[in-house]
Amino acid sequence: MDLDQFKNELNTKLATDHINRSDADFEQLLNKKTGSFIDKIKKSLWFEIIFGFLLNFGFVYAAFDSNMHSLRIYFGVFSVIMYLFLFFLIYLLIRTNQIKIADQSIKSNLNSYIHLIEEFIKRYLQFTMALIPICIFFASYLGYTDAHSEKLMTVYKSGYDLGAKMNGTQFLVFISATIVLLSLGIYGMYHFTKWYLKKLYGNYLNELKQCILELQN
Amino acid sequence: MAQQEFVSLLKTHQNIVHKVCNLYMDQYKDKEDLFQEITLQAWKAYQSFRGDAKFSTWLYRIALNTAITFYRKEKRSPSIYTTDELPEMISQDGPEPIEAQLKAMYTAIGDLSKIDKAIVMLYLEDYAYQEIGEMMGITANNVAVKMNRIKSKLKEQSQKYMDQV
Repeated sequence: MDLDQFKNELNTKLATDHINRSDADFEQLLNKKTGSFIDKIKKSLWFEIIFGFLLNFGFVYAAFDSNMHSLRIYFGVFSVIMYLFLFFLIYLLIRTNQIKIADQSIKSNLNSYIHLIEEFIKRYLQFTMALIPICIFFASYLGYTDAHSEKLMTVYKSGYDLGAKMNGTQFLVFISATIVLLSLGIYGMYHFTKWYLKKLYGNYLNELKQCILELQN
Repeated sequence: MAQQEFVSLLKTHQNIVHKVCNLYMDQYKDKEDLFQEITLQAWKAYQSFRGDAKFSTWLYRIALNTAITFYRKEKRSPSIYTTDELPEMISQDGPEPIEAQLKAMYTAIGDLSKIDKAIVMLYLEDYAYQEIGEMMGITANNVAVKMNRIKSKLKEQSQKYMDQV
C-alpha cells in the first residue's frame, strides 16, 4: 500500500470534507482578529511602547520636579535607559511588520520567526538584568549620600553603630553574607527571568527550530 | 472593491484552505481557528499580491506558512484524523477493504511532522518537485529525497495500522 495508490482518494477527501462557505461567511471572518504568534508579539510590543512612553513622562517629570537630588538622578537615569529600550522596541516592531509570509518560502518564514523571537528574548533578558545593578547602586549609594529624612538617618546610624560594634572577623562575615545574599538574589532573578521567558516562548521556539532542522536534513 | 474581489477568489479556492486545515488539525475547533487565521493572513497579504504567481500557489504558500507557525496554547491529541470522519468506500480492492487501507494511510499521514505534511500536501496537488522546493525553500533534489523517505515511512506505518485492525 503506498501513497500514490491513494493519491486521488486522499486529495478528494481532504478537499471535500467541509461545508462550503458563502461570501457572507468570508466577510464575517475578515472582521475577526488575527491570533498568530507574530501578531501577539506585535500587540505586546505596541502595549509596551505606549506604556513605556507614558511611564517615561512620569520619570522625566519626577526627575525635574523632585527636591531630592538622589531622586532626580535616579529618575533621570531611568528615563534615559527607558528611552533606549523604547527605541529597541520600536526597532523590533518595524522588523515584525517586515515579515511578509506571502513572499517567503517556508524555510525563510521560519527563519524570520526564529530570529525575531530570539532577539526579543535576548534583549528582554538583557534589559531586565541591566536594571538590577542600576537599582541596587542607586538605592544604596544615592540613598546614602542624599539621606535627608530623620527616619532614614536613624536607619543609617543604627547600621553604622552595628558595624562599629563588630570586630574585624564579624564585619568580614557580615559583608560576605551581604554579598552572597545579593549575588544569590541576582542569580535567582536571572534564572527566574530566563525560566519565565522560556515558559512563554521556549516550546514554540523549539518547535520552529525542529522544523528548520527537518528542512535541512 | 478589493475585499469583494478577494472574497470571491478565496471562495473559489477555499478547498485549499480546507485541505490545509484538515491536514494540520484534528479537532473541529482548531480547524475553525486555523481557517480563520489563514483567511486573515491571506487578506493582510492580498494588498501585495501582484499576480506574478497563480492565486492558488500564492494561497498555498500563505496557508502552509500559517499552519506551520500556528500557535496553540493547549496541546491536543497528536493524531489528526479519527477514523469515523472517513468516507465509506464502495469498492473493494485486494485482500483488505479499500476504506480500511485509506483509513490506515490517513492515520499514517496524521503522524507525519509539520514539514512532511506540507510536502505531502503539495505532492498530492501534483506540484513538480521544483515548485515544491521553491515553496519549501529547499532544492528539488532534496524534495525528491524527502518524498522517497516519506513514502517509505507511510507505507510502513499504514501497514502497521492495518495489522492492528
